[in-house]
Amino acid sequence: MSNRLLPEPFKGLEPFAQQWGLEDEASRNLKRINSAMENLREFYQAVLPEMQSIVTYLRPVPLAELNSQQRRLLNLAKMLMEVAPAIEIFNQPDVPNSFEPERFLILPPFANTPAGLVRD
Amino acid sequence: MNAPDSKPFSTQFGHLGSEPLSIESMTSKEYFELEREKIFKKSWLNVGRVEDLPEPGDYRVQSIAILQSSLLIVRGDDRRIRAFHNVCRHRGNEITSGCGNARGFSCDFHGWTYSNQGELAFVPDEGQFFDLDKSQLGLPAVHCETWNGFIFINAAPKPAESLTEYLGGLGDQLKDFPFDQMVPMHTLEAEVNANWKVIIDAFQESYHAGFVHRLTAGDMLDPDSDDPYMHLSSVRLFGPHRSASVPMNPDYVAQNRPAEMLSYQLASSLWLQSGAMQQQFMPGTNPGNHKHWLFDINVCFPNFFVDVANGWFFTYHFWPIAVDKTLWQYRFYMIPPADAGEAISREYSKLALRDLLREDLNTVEATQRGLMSGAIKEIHLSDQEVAVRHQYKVVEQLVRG
Ligand code: FES
Ligand SMILES: [Fe+2]
Repeated sequence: MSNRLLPEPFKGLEPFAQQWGLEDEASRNLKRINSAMENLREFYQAVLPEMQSIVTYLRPVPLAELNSQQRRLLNLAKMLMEVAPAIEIFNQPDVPNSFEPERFLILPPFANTPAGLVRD
Repeated sequence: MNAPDSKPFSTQFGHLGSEPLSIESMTSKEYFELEREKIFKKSWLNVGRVEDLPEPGDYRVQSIAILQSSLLIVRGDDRRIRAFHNVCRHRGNEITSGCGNARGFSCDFHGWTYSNQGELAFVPDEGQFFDLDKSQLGLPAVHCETWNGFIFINAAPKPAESLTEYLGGLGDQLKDFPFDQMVPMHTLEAEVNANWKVIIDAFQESYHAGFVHRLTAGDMLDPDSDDPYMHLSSVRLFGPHRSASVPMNPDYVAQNRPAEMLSYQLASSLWLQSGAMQQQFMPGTNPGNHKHWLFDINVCFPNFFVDVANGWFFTYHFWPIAVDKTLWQYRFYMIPPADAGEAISREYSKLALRDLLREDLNTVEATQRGLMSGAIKEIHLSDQEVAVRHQYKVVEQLVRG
């Protein structure tokens, strides 16, 4: 199917692709902290056992040459990493006793920010 | 209990004393104004790296509240990076904003135009002026020098020393670190309601790790070892700058954390750098040659950190806004990922430090509230907080000097 979001060998993860395969770190973090623990756990339990196969599948492809399905798969794997501390460490979606996320900017490397960095 | 050799830094740096320190410098508006004049307007301040402005004409504007200035930092057509006050020579309007690439800058008010090397190139209706010498009316320059790819400015009319002289021993220690082989992974930023020095303090001691970071880095401490509090392995003072080495718990395992373990298996990454113990340490790191070494804290006075580890480094900037408000900025650099496995591993490194930093920032705001309450007049520092003590001594000397 051409409207599949993930490469064929990972079609089992397709139900998660749209909502969890997010492109940038800030969106992935927002998704984590706004999700219920049961949803985080469901995602974690589905993706963790696939991580080794995901890496084996993507590793031969140069990062700059990933197609959109492969890129979505990589983002899904990054999302697994994002979700991991909530499951493995905090037992809650966000860091306990921490600086408010609304006041904490997560920016790409060269974002133009109040302190004046360059390039979006 | 306290054997003499359990307080090595007070012996090594006896001149710093051991008395409690006044909190005045963390809470007083008058003191803050003195810091502005006597420290920030005279020191070399980092404003990023040369890779931020790779091409001729690349520029960005940085407003620096503590200098009451907006600076234009630009790479000229001659490839040299310069800094100017973002102020038009005609009647003082600000010239530009944001960032981008430009051959020159034209003032919105009456169209005076400057080249990207700062020269005044064009004045509309120039004949109406009186004895205008355009060659003397370039953008007001600010001293700007680079060291190892780091761009620094100095707002003093005539800086007391060159950047290299200013960095001194800290520059020597870091001179061979492969900064140019690493790329920025992300930037984090927050306006934090705390004094700039109070925030810095939270990043220059390891005493708090077992408490503030008991979840995110608790396993870095081994209560059954001979170092249950993760004592600093060594400390170096270089004039106003300082450097401290933080130890690695050699028995660290990410117990019941399969995703974290995976990140270590996929690449040489954050803490468990594949066989870090046996690995050669990168030049510019671990000057004490400690066996179990995690990373070095390197504080470039007054408001800039370059903390280095095997395969990554990060910078902090602490830009004071008011006595109890600071713009905090963090940039994390790593060797660029070669493949998807490394990219996934690096992702964990990024977010693990990110989550841990939110614990620090939460704490410093609570600390500032406590200080502002007036309930205590002084703070009590242990030998482990020698870097904290050094900061206040250096600041006090400059402010009163
Ligand atoms: S103030 Fe800039 S052209 Fe007049
Ligand atoms: Fe900390």
